[in-house]
Amino acid sequence: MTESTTTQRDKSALDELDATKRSLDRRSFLKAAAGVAASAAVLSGCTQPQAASESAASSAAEEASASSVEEASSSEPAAAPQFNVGPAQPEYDEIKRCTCAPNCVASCGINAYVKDDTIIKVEPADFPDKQFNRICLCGISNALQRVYSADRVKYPMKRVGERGEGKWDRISWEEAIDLIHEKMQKNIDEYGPTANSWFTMVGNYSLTAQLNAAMMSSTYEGTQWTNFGIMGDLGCNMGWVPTMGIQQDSADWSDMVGSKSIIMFGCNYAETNKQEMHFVFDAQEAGAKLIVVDPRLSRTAAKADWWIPIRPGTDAALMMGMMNYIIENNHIDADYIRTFTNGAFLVNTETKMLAKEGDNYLVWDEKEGKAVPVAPMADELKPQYPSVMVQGEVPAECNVPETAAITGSYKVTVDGAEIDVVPAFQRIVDSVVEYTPEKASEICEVPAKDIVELARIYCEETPAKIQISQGTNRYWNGHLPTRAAIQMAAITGNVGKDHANINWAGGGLMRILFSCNPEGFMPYPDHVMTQLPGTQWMDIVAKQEPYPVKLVWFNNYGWGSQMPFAGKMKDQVLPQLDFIITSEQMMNGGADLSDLVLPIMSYYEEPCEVITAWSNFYLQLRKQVITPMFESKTDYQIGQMLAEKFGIKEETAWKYDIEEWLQKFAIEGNLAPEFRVDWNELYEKQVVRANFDDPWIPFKSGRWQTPSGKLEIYTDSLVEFGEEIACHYEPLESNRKELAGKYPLTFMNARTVYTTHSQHVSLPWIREVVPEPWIEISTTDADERGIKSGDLVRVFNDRGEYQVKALVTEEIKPGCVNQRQGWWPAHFPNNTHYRDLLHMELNPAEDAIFETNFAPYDNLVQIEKA
Amino acid sequence: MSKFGMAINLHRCVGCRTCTVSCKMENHVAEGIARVHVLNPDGTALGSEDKPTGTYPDLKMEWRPVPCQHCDNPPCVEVCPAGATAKREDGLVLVDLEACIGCALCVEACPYGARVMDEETKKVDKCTGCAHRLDGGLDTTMCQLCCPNRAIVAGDLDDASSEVAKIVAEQETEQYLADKGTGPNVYYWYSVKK
Repeated sequence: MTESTTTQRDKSALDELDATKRSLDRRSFLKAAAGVAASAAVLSGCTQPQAASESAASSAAEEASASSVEEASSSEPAAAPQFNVGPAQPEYDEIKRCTCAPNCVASCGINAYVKDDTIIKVEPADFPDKQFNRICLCGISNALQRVYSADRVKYPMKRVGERGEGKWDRISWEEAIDLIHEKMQKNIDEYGPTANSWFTMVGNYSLTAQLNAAMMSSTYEGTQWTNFGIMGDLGCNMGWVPTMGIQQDSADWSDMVGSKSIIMFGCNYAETNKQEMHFVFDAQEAGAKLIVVDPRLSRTAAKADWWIPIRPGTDAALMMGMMNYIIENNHIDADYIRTFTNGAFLVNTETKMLAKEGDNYLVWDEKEGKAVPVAPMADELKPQYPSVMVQGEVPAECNVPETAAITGSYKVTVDGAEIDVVPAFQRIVDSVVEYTPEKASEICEVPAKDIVELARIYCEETPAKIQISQGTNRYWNGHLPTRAAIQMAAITGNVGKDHANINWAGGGLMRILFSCNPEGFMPYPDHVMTQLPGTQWMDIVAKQEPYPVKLVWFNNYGWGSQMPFAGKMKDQVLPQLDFIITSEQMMNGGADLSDLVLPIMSYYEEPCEVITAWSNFYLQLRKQVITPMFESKTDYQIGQMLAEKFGIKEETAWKYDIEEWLQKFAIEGNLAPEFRVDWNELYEKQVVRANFDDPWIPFKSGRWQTPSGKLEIYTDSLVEFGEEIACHYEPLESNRKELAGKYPLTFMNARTVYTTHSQHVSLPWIREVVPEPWIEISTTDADERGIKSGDLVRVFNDRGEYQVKALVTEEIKPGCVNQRQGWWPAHFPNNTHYRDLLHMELNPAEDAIFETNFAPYDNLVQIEKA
Repeated sequence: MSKFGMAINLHRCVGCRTCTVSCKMENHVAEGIARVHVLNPDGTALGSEDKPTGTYPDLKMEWRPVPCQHCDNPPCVEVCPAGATAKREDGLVLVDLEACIGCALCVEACPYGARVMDEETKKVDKCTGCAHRLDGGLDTTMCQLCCPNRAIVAGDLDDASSEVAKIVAEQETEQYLADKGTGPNVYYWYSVKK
């Protein structure tokens, strides 16, 4: 050990003492805060920090209760009991606002009660609209237990044993930055800058934490792994992009009140959007009929007026059946199709491409008896994502004549040649003919009469709203249901209308990521990153093709539990990497496999951040609530330290302190006018709604950011995949394919209400509610295997195996099992983990649109008693 | 006069246990015990054990948060040999921890499981109706304030204008284990009937 390290160690010992002292201080405050009767004499020996009854009372409480304590201690049993209930609130120095945003999508405002630099309790903070005041068991446990967890990464830790062995040396930040600099520079010299790579996920909705990979990879001209695909959220987006021109959008949740029927495909909001579910209840109480399509009786399905169980991965087939009924019974909105979609555009029946005359599309004008051109909308007339604003008048040449046909079959002459054409909508009509309710039923296992009834409700009990979400997303064919739902909403004229629409994700979260000023997220002028698909990162690194990648730096990502196919990752990918860095708060599965682990601040320690939400349009601003624990830093601060080490800080946007950076790039220089709120107001109030209409209803402008400017229900760029219109095909590991003979069970891994992915599951209060992982298996499947609730079972396929306790339940469709996700390898017997069973196979159509989505539910397994 | 009561809307309860955990934070409830249990359909309380009743696909799943019912005839008060527990004038059933001798007779007497022993202190622990908050002028219990789905309302049953009194007056409500003769003051109801 060098002398400098020894000195560092001594310093570390002192810090450790400081930390211990703070932790002890926290205990004393908890005692002080306890609002129950004083009983110091009886309870002074207690050591449990959370024990109410250990409460040596606060000085205030003690004072107030001094007489009663005396009376009680000398009282006869028969004396009247004395109830000292303590003060309404604990003694505190300040209430500070924070934002809890662990990717549960809600981004709750939190009032933290702080005493001597320690959080002693939290309550929901006020929003301008009090419907958004909220908190939950995860946010509470995070503030009181994760922030103060013994499992926090406290200091930069350098691996000294084998990877995964758990042997670490504490090093200083200076040593850590030197080491990173040395490793990065070596790669730059030997392989080129793209050998250094960054992988950011969404564990904290802080803007700079989410932009970290972009900021770092661009600064050092490295590789940025895209994250939308491997996070498993991209399937629905891949239904949106070709049709709507953007990845996602939703009406404000309050728009549900007023809907007559709300149909949910793959939405389990009661667990996954638990802060939004109250809007669903509001809607039901106002008379909406709630219908939930799901293979499980999810908690949301349990609240529905009608639950429709379905075979997993076949929602698109159900919707094709609904569209058969809708078209057969003429429930379409012909005017809407003609005016707002490209349904009237003529399609060459031979090539299936849209017939065009120069840049113009063609439609068949029945009055004129000939094809007439329709011009594509100029880009400046369309909304410019992430903004939704539109300006200028749409010229008449972009309008489809009222007399244009949407069905039929015609001959037109294009470039001197006569071709057979049909309006695009005719292709949809033709495509659903075979999907009779009976045929659809055979595929999706929903009775034909139920398909008809669902379609009838959608058309007659209006306004009818469609919600679609992650349950459909997480199959290899996961873009198909969204594509079908958009087509169904479009042909019935339900897009851009109050209490209707097709709704997926939305809010400000994605929009601000795309609208942050490039000078901020690419901080080094003239330096850009190379983006590679995160869904292919394992193959790229394993093969070192198309170029060598030797260093990966993860942040905001519980990659040790949330990333698929760990067997392949450990055997083929990690050995190719010379250096793995994980920036983390907790010593979790990903940190365990790293070479260097860096301590990251909790929400309550960050000096300043801007946060948005997937579920609303509020901008929130964090200010520091408590002094950073241990030696933790923000991702941004680490970026600044590294820029300084490389000697480039002053030439880059890393030179700005975080408040300046956010003001300049996130707010005042934001590309979307909607986010350019008054910085001082945001800084002062810590919550301001971005300037979107309230309530926000997407697509009211009737203009889309597609090539034509219309809602494109026909996409000729997908002809080669047979996906120019909505269709259905089986999931990759469908339970009707041959593989099901060997592995008959569809392996879902749904979220619970008790944790946001891997973030809360290790916390003591959460574990009191859910002590250990479990897998749900139907009574039918369990009986066949002799499995009872509480039995340890072995779950396996060709990719891997793990062990877990079974819960035998009627909740789930026979043929499916559901491992509740988020648990860490350390929580399962022998460090086994379900991620080992999950594939990361590419879907060619999704890749052609943008990128494949990770499909965690589309995996077949077998189960037996362990 | 005032009379403490609660109305819990079971349609809005999704069994998330935020009531349990927010109460633990607010009242510094000891590790391993809870003052508000959330019961699964089969009466178990762990979040990892909930399952519906019925046979697939004819199923029903709901949860029941069970705080102290602050009964009119609290069996726990009757059995306490130390005179440590009583019903306050406003209806809250409270414990004088100084006087509690930890005999656990009240734990056995309560049909709701609302009382638990804190093994560390050897005293009984129970829901106070957040008396400290209400006495101090706040208008919500912590479970009410934190419930994500706004399922819980607490207040004065004797005040006809209070939300809780209105629910009891206007809605079809039920009292849990009413046949035990305890006169519970927590009213369960459904805002949406299916």
